[in-house]
Amino acid sequence: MPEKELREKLEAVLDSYQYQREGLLPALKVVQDETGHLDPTCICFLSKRLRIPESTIYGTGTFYSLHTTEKLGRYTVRVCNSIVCHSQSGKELLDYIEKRLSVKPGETTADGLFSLEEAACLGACDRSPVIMVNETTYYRVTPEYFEEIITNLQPESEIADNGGECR
Amino acid sequence: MTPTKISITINGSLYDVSPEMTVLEAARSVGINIPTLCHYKGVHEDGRCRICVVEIKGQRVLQASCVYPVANGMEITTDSDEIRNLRKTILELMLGGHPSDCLNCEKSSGCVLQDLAYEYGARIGEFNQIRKQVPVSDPNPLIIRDMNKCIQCGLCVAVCEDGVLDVNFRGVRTAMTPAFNRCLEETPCTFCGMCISVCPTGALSEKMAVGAGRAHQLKRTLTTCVYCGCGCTIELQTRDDRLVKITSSPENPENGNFTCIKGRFGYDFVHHKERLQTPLIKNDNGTFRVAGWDEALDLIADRLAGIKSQHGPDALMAFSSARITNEENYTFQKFFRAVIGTNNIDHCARLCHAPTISGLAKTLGSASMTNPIADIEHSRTLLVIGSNTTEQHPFVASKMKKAVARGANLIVCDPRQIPLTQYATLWIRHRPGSDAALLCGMMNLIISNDWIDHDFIRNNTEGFDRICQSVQPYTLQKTSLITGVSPDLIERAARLYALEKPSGLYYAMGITQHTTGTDNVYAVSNLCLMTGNIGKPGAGLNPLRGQNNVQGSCDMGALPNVYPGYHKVIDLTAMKKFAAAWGVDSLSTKPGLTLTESFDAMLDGRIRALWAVGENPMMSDPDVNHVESALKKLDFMVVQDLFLTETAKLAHVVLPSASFVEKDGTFTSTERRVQRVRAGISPVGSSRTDWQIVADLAGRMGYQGMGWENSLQIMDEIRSLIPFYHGITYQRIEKRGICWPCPSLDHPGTPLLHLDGKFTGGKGQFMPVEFNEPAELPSEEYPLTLTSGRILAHWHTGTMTRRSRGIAALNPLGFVEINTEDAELLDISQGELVRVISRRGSVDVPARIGEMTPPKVIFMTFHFHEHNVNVLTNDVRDPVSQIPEFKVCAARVEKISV
Amino acid sequence: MKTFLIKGIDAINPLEIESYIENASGYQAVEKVLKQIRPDELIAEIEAAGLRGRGGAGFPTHIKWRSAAGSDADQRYIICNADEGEPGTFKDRFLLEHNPHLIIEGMLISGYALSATVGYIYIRGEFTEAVELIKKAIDAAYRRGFLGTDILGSGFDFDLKIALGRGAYICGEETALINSIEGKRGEARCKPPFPATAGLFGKPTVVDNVETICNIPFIIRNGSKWFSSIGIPGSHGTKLFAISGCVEKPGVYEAEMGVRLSDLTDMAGGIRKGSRLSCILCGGASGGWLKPDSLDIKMDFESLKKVGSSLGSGAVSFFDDNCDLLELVEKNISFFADESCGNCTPCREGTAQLQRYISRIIDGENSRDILDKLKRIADTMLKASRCGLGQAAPVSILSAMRVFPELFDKANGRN
Ligand SMILES: Cc1cc2nc3c(=O)[nH]c(=O)nc-3n(C[C@H](O)[C@H](O)[C@H](O)COP(=O)(O)O)c2cc1C
Ligand code: SF4
Ligand code: FES
Repeated sequence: MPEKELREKLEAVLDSYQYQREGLLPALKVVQDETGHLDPTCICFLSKRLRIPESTIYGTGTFYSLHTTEKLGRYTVRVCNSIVCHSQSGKELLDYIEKRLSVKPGETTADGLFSLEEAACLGACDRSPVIMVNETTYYRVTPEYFEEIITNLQPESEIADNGGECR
Repeated sequence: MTPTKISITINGSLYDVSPEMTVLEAARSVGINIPTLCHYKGVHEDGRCRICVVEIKGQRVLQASCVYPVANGMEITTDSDEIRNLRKTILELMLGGHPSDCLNCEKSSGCVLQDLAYEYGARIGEFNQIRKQVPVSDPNPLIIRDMNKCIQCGLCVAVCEDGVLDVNFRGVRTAMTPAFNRCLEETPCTFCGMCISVCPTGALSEKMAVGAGRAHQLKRTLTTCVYCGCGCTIELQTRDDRLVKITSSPENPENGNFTCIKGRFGYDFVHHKERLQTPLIKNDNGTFRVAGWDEALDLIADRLAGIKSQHGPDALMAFSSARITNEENYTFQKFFRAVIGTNNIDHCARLCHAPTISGLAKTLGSASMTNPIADIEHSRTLLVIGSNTTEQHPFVASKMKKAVARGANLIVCDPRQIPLTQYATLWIRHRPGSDAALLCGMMNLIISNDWIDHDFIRNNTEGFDRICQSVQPYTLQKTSLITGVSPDLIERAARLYALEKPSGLYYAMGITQHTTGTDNVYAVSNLCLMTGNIGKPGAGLNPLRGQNNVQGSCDMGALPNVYPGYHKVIDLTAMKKFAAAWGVDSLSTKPGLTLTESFDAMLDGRIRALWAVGENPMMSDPDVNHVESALKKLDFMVVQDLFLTETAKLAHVVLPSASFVEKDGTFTSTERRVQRVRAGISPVGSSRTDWQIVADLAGRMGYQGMGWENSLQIMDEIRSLIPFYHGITYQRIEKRGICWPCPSLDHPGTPLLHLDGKFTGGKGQFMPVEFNEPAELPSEEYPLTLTSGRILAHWHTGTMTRRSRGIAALNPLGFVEINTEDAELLDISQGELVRVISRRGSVDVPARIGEMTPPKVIFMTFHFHEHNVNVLTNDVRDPVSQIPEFKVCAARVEKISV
Repeated sequence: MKTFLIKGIDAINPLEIESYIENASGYQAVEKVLKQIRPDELIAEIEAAGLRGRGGAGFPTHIKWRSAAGSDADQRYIICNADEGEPGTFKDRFLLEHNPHLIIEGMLISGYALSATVGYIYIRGEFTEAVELIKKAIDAAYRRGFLGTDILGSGFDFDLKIALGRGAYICGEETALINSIEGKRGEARCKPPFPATAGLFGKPTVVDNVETICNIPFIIRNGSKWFSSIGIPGSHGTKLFAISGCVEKPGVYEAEMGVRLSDLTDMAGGIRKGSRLSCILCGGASGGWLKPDSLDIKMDFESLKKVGSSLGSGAVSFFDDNCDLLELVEKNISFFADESCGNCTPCREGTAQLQRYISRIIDGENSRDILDKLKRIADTMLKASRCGLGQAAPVSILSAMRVFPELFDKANGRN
């Protein structure tokens, strides 16, 4: 069973979809956001509440790239890796970030603070290169700007509060 | 209006086809083959593999013919150089990740991928190896999962009914695996093995058959599964007179690909080292010695004749078996009636559906399922009461699950959280033994809300007034109080069943195995009649008959009060007919003893000899300590079986019989379908089929009427004596069984009984019912209610399934289910060995703690001799049908102090 | 040149419904429709305007509408496809972030045309800012009575819901999108049945691109004649172009259908100073390559198809000679390999194989064999894949082989 708070959150989401399958992806978003991955106890819980086999929930969950089977760090840095960003200094930026955090895409720093992911086109090719850190998007990112971004990272809760904010 | 036929062109020729067809179906219907890999009609129609692509004029791209509907004027090309090249490339893409070990692959020569690769000249390794090879490591004993050979067709996922597998990830990482890539044993897998049967490659295969033979080396024999009344058709795969594996037989119209774990994997008992190979005769010191058939049969003939002449024919008793064929049951009862001269013959139907026989014979005129299994597809509501369908009648449950998926309502009434409750619209968790009250309460509601079927009651039934009165006391409040079910739930169930018609009612031992068994059967029958839910597709009153041939054994007259075809033994005309047919002057007109009554008769000396075929009362009957003392009093006892069972050990002579894979004949399934049983191998050791043994003995005792050469001749005799079997010849059931009644050779059989409310016995009869408590209620000393039953993987007393390696490995031990609450009170932990005690005995058994049973209720099975529930059960019986109350007794659980 | 979709868009505050109503005649079209036009007349109007879908395929909008409106059903759905995921495309995001109420108004009118009482906007989960804006805009529209029951006293009910993508390009494909809303894997479905007959929850459904939806209120306000006078025959109206890469001012530009690529380039400030244009990718990752000397080309569905490229969703990406074209080709195919839903063999296996072969070429392998195999796989994907993703994935490779054959010379063993 997930912790009480998370359980209640999930119940609320499922309830708003009358416990129909339609509520699965919104619920999985909560699971991913709160636990950092497709947490087995949460999937078991959702399976019981929605009356869908765990295998189906897992299969649906793993289809989508915003869900992970490995636990993500506190901050997930997604670097757009599609042609435009890539050719507009995105490649160099990715190299920089890999070195800076000492991880490869798909990995998490040893302290569990940062996960690095390659993202498909983030839809802002006019302001490349683009990265996302958790829910916030940053444009025209240079190594210097990246340094600034990570030094200014606040505790998770505050980040979520001013989510939406962008440059 | 859609036209009945449209015209299309395939490969330049014009054809008329049905507009409902896909391109694939249309092509095949005119004899043009298109290859497929991922397609399975009705199960998986998803167009994944793309091997079936065809060209349709006017379309930019090719289309998967398996999912593309035909349209008038369509011009289709199914074969061209271009198409062949595409198919070849698709195959080579599939093979891009494929290991090249066809040399050692189990599927080789039975592999669809291999055949297509051959046909299209596709090669392994043409393209890059783009997948990391993963180890083949699932440790389960039955199924090999080699994901390196998976081509992502999706069939295993589509066919899995337990929600074990699904498609995970995407792109080239796509994999058909359990959640979190768990091992099968950590999933809800029931090991039905259907996934193996549909896998077109070597990705899934049978572990126990590794190295035992390739497809082309195996001989295939179609037969009927021996495990339960569902009557699934299966295929025996044999090599060098050995049974190598069992597979489903997809083309058969009944179960198709379906089998459960027992049907597919419960076969290796056949060649088990403990199989009886020769007759055994007991020495004076209690040990057995090997004997020849002549010696053993002469001894039996001698002793039976002796006891008969000394104590009269009624001192002999026969236990026939619902496991053996119709032909064998017929032979055995004929022997006792015509040669010995007694009606003392009964079989284990006594322990399962005796109340159905006595009850439904009164109310409907015949005691069997009124509707065929396939009818579940037509039900809008299903009411399942006292049946753990998923575990006891897996195929029926499979149909029910499909019905739910299509939108049918499912009401499950069961004290235990049986697997079917997961699919239920309503789950009614009534107190064990309160079934009649629940049903009466529902009826009261239905009557007072006027949800009854007036026309049906008026035209087709009698006695409705009586019933109205008798259910009146069962107000919602009172019913709720007795059953422990909320009034709201009872009302919703009544409403669904009565109004969302057609409603099919399904019941089994949870209704019958009570001292009130017959009353319970009356109650379900009343409910069914007052709502007019009978005689129509999708409706019906359906007792799920347990064993593979329990319907047939009853039909054949392996009962103390009736001859074959249910002619009463007290009826002189019937007696004369059978006496003439069997070439004797007269037959006894005195009803014989029932199986349950016979133990008392053994104890008091009325019964002196017993011949038991394929029955193991030392485990299957209530209060086995009582059974044991009875059997030990016998002067002479013969047991005919596959193994030296607990009962056989007490016998004076033990005879080895052939198993179902070694004999020909017929079984009659729960839906009254008479189906063929065929021998795939010759009898193991010197074992013989049961009818041959009996016929041989009859000859030795001077009876001439059993000179048959094969089972076909017995069937012809049966057909001449049972009118409702008359039209059922082996020839007619070669491909598909026929449901009786089938009175003539041109009659198609009768899957649906009482059509339009025309009952066999005239009008449907309402029978008033009172609720009575079970005989033994919890007390201070025995505060728990013990209920008993079975589990999916094992069959009855475990003689066969516990000798099937895979099944036994997965389910090695028995258990007692205890509710978490009670376990906490008793300070018992999961798996702990505890002592369960009733007034009749005590058993040590591991605890399985959870929510399966409600508080104050415990559950055990009779599969395990080490801890058999029947040491504890109560042998009080229903006065009408003589069935014992297996389902309820009082017990307590104790912690075993160390 | 006539433009209207994003003209004056800066004057609209996306957070204020009033701003849309006052500065852009907002919600007037819906009022007109609800009071004066029957659904069938509305569909006829769209037909007369000649509106073609802006999501990439350019399918005539009225055909889908009419088919869905005509199917017998107790419920119908209209879905706005805001899953914009085609690399190089960002025009829908622009609309979402700058004028959410235009989308809502367009959805209302479309819903009315189909007699659909429920609409969905399916937005990419990564567009967090747009999601917030749309949510607020929907709330405001409910409060103002533009959404909900009995809208503007017309008796028409319409609910608008949001569904979020969870990171899957394929969910831009309409049937995959529908599966995703239903809470399933976003695999493309086999067609037929088309969504217009059996879509979301098995009901008739129309999926329209954001930009398509945004055109609707303008057509209603100004009439079909006005609309069809813009653009060129066969491709009416304007198009939003997402211009990126080595230009001075990358961004979203609106121009009439049939505009010359050179004019677009000028709108974006021309090629960036100091850069030498080496190639152009038109239509995003599924599109085709153009040589620097093809700036003369006309930008509309048919003209681009003729030269082996495509208009697609209007993405135009410029690359200078600092880029390694083969590397770009590899990026593109690896995008498809990552995004293939994995359902059908040609795409699931083919994208991965193509990626491997392109990397092998980059690594300097040379054998004729590789190019033959590339072509064989590409051909199989084009013809036998289930959906547009697999059918489009090899396009940019084949295009590169045609437009820049010299790149493959080495692999061909000719160098
Ligand atoms: C792989 C794939 C991805 C697609 N992605 C999008 C998308 O992001 N947005 C979109 O509007 N249409 C997308 N489409 C097109 C849609 O399937 C559909 O044609 C479109 O939403 C219809 O809207 P329209 O008629 O307004 O263009 C995609 C198609 C394919 C095959
Ligand atoms: S073409 Fe690709 S994305 Fe489309 S169905 Fe096939 S595997 Fe899925
Ligand atoms: S058989 Fe048609 S796609 Fe697989």
